[in-house]
Amino acid sequence: MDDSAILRLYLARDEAALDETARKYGAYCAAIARNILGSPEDTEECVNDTWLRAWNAIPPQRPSPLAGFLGAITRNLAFDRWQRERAGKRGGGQTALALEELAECVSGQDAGGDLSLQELQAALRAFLDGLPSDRREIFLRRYWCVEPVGEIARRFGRTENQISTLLYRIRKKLRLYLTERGFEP
Amino acid sequence: MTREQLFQALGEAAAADIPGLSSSVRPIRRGRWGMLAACAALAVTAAALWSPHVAGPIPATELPPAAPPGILEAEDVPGSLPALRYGQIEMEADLSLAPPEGGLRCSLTQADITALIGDEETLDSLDWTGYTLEGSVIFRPDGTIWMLLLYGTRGPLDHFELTLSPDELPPTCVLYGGSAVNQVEGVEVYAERYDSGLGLSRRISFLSEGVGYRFALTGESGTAGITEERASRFLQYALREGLDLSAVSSEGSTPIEPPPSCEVGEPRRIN
Repeated sequence: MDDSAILRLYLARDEAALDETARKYGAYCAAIARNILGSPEDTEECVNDTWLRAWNAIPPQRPSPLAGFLGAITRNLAFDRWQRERAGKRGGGQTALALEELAECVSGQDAGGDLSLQELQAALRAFLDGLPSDRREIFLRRYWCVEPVGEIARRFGRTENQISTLLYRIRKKLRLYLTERGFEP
Repeated sequence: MTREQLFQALGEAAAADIPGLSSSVRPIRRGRWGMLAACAALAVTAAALWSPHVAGPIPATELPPAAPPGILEAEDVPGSLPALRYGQIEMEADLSLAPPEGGLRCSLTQADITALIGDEETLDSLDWTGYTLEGSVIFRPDGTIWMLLLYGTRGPLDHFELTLSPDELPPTCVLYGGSAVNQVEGVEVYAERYDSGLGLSRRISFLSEGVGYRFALTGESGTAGITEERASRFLQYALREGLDLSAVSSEGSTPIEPPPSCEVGEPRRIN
C-alpha cells in the first residue's frame, strides 16, 4: 500500500493503518532500533511504541515522507531508551561508538538554552546537502541509522578502513562547519 | 554542544533523507559501453592505430545541432550544483584522431595530478576519492600542450575520463549527435547521455578561461543521479576554480611514433 493510502487510514482513525504501517515499515524501523539498542526485546518494544506515537500524532500531522517520520520517531525512542539503560550500566555497542566518533565534531560543553535547535538542524541539513550523495548516505548510515562500519563497507564495496577514513574526513569538515557558524567555540 | 545534542539534532535534520538511502552494492562487471566510453583514452594511448590525417580539436561551433538550452537553477540557489540537461545520443561517428607529428608524450605523476587538480580536500569535494588516478599529456613539437588525459578508475563500470586542451575543446574519437546545450555561469556546456542495460555514460564538454574540457563518466545502470552529480561537481569546480595546464611540464617526455592512416567513419544511428 502506498503512503497516501496508509495516511488516509490514519486520518479515518482506521486501525488497519497500524497493520499496514507495520507491514511496510516494520523491518525498517526495527533495523534502526536494533542498531541503537542491540537487544531484540527492546527493539520490539521500541517499534511498537513507534506505531503508538504515530497513531497519536496523525492527525493532526500529515507527515511526508512517512518513512522519515516513522524512522525519526523510532530513532528518538531508541536513543532515549539507550540513554536510560546506559545510566544503569547497560547498553553500549554501536551507539556508544558512534557517539564517541561524533564527539570529534563538538566541544562537549552542554550548550543548554544557548543552543537553537532549529538553527542547528537547518545548519546540519545544509551541511548534508553539500556532501556528495554517496558520502551523505555513508554519513547518515553511520550516525543516523547507527549501522556498523563493517556493514556500510560491505554495502558500498569498500574496505572498513576506507569507510572509516571517509567518515573521519566528514567529521573534520563538520567540526569546522559548526565552528564557522558559531555553534562551537 | 555535547555529542548527544548533535546526535539528536541530526535525527530531526536528516529524517527526510533517510528513505532515499539506497542499498546497492557496486558490482564489478565489464561491458561494451565501458569500452566505448574509454574510446578517447584508447585513441591517444594507442595512437599507433590512428590516422595522421586528422580532424583536430573540434571548435564548439562545429558540434552537432543542439537541443534547446537546459533549465538551470544554479544561479538562483547559491551553493547548489548546476542542473544540466543531457541530450540522448542518437547518432555517432568515428573521428580519426592522432597526435601532432613530432609530438611528445609523458605520463602524469601523482605530483602533476595534485598540481593540476588539487589535494585530497579537492578530490573529496569532487567526489573523486577512491578513484585510482592516472594520465598522460601529449605535447606539440614546440612543447605546448596538445591534450591532457586523466583517468579515474574505481571499477570496470565506474570510471571517468577527463581530457583538457588549451584554447579549444579537446579532440575526440567519437562525435555524438543529440547534445543538449546548457548555459552555466555564461558558459555553453554540451551534455550527452547514453543508457543501456549494461551501464550508462554522461559526457560534458565546455570551454572556459582558455581551457577546453571534456569529462566523460561511466557508471552502472541505476547510478544516473550520482554520475550526473559528479559531472556537475566537476563543472562547478572547473568554472569557478579552473584547471591550470601550465602546472604540467614536458620534462621527461618522449617522442610519439607516427601512427598509420585511418579513415573517418560514416555516421551511424544508435539503437
